[in-house]
Amino acid sequence: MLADRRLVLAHFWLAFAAFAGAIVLGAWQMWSRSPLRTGLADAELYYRSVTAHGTALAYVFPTLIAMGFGYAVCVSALDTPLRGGKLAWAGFTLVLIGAVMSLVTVTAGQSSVLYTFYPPLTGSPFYYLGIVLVVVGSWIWVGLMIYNLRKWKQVHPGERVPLAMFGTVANALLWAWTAVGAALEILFLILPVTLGWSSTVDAGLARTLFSWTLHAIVYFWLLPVYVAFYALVPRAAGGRLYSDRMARAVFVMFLVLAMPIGIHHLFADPNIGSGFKFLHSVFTAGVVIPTLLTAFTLTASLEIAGRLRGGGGLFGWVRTLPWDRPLVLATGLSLVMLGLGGAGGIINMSYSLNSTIHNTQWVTGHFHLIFGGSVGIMYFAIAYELWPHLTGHPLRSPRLARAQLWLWFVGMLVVTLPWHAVGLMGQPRRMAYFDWSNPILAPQGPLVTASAIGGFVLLLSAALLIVVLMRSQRGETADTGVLQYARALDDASPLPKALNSLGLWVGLMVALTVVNYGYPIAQSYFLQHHTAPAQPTLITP
Amino acid sequence: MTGDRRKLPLGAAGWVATLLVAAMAFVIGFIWLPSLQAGGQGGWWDAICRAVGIYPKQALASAAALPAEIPTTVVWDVQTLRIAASGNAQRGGALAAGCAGCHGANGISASDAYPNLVGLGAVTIYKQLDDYRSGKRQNPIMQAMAAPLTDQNIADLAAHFASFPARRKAVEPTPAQIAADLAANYEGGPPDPMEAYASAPILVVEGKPSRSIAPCAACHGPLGHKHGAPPLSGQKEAYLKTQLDAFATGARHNDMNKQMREVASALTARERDALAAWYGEAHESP
Repeated sequence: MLADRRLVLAHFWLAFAAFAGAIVLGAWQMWSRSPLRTGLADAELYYRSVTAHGTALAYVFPTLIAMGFGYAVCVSALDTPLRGGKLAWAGFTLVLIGAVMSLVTVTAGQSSVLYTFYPPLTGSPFYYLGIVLVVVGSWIWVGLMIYNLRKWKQVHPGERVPLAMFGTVANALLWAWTAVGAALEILFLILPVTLGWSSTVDAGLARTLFSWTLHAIVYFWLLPVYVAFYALVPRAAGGRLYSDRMARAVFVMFLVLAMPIGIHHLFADPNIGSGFKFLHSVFTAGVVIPTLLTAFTLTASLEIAGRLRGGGGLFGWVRTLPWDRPLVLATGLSLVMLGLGGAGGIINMSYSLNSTIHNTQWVTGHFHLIFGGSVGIMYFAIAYELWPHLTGHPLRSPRLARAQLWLWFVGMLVVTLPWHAVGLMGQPRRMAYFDWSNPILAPQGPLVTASAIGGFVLLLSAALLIVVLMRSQRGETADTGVLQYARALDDASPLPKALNSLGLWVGLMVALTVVNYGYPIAQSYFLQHHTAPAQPTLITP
Repeated sequence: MTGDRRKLPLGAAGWVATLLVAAMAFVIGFIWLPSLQAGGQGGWWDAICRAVGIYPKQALASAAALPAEIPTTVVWDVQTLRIAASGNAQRGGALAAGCAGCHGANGISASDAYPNLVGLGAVTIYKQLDDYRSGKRQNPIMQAMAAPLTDQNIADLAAHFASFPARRKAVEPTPAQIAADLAANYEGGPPDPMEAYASAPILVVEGKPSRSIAPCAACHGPLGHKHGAPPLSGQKEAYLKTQLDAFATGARHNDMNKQMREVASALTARERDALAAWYGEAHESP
């Protein structure tokens, strides 16, 4: 069994608790704005729900999964107990307090600002302080990941850092830097307003700072999945990782490129010059490279496994893969969603194509497909993979687990494909309700109804996930062995030093941030052209 | 098993490649594309300026040059709100000696002809005084009173009247009041959406969408608050009636986006009476 397993379990359970609540809200929201609902909707209640859904699923759930999985990787890949266990619990406690503080504030109707804050909208300071606590808690995790790797390197000088830990620390460093944008926004722009020290907020500057966080946070959610793709999946499929060095290059590229590209979220913002929009568009296109490298390496690794298991011909190896294993099944389903979502993403980040879908339901469809779909399904599979090592019990009812993964896949496609379609038809995102008696909206009605039904499929899948995990907490005890990582074909090849340490790449990430963000932030800061009166959303009694 | 046998170390290659991409993107995004968009007009420096978001300044029209149909010279930008919030209540109190005759020493007017000023909020008072001064709102007495005031005087007066403890706050009809109203006005049956008459509580909380009438409470509170939209409950009924009628005929036209003229002209005379009575002082519960 895994060292520090109670710590990892605590992170996973809190993550899934937040997840389960948020999925209930998500299903309600989809029903509430669909033609299935008759009668008037309360818009405030809707936005309150959206805020809680987004806060739980964007800040709490993935952060805890990244932290919990990171601790698990740290103790198993480095094969040593965690140093700083007490600090890790302190970080967990901060995340717990912060999550409760934020979500209670939202539930009380004191901060329906959506998880992206949208200043000059402002809510209760407790909401923002709660999110700050979540981030501070996660920064403790960042510190511990770096510290543990450093200590390991002292004991193992010159040795190859295990790939899973290399990817995890790359992600920790990415998160440490990318969270700075939103932290600056909250501490220096929003909190002074909500605490009553200022009556105005520079909306342009706030949005620019948030975009610093907004895009790379997606890669912070994604990289634990990539760690699983490279370090766990080839082993689970019964093969080898095609290239360890390629995997490391991918993590490095994400570290450098994930962050200084966020202005592609601001293509419609007037305070950013068109040159910077183009610059960020170019670097966003750069992220396609590590993504395609991953698709290639992962497919090659699976092909190795399939052929080792007797598959032949051009595609015969696909059939012989062990699809009954949750991690392999989830990987296949995840890749389908990643492919569809990635193609949509290329449209989003194109400076010219973006105007077709900007702020439409297409965008909501895109990030649900990528994050809720391909990332979420891998989180479940990671939990299924870790659970025996965390609980000492084998996963009970793998069939139920497979059904859960299939339901999630089908539900997510039924939710998001219609969203893409209605987005192209012009449906704006963030709408609390629609006038379904309006003939102009009539063609969208059936699609929205279909997606709402998909929402309930997702709800069922989420319930099954909790059932499987809870059932596997007890029952027969078995020797679950140690968590093993995939071996790579090129394990014995020499490794360039630049692929065994990250300092050089952190430097490049910071330099690129200065090039890509320095001027737009300075311009907003000094000109203050977009200062606007704060608009409290508080419900006053 | 680490080692590096390349000519150009991988790390340096990564840096060089990244910065080359940045340089290329700069040439395309900051020089070439903006030059093309300008049809080749202007030099590369102009192109860079446009690409980083610096545009040649356009002279703003001065207030005096604005056409007469512009309802007000007040713009709710940060500058205006800062001035409106910068008043000194004590200085305002000294200036307000001349106001008390009509509006009462505590902002509560003794006569039905003059509005109460207590509780209106600094921003509302600021805008109305500014409109009187610029002639956008017309009233012989008030225009004469406002003419000599400076921006700072107006802000001080606004601060003075806003400093009285608010005597009233925005009210929303209770469900019981709405039920009683329905019983009285619709003979117990559900109101017909196309029914011509809408009673005051309905207009306050729901408006009349079929006639493009927004709910009063959406701007005047408590459902929502818009800059310059005063709380209405506890105002003089006669004053409210006069103003609604003036908005309906267009005699009063200093509503920034024409919203009060639109709403008031869509209301029937009976509805305007009902609303004035609903919000009017007489209606207020103690």
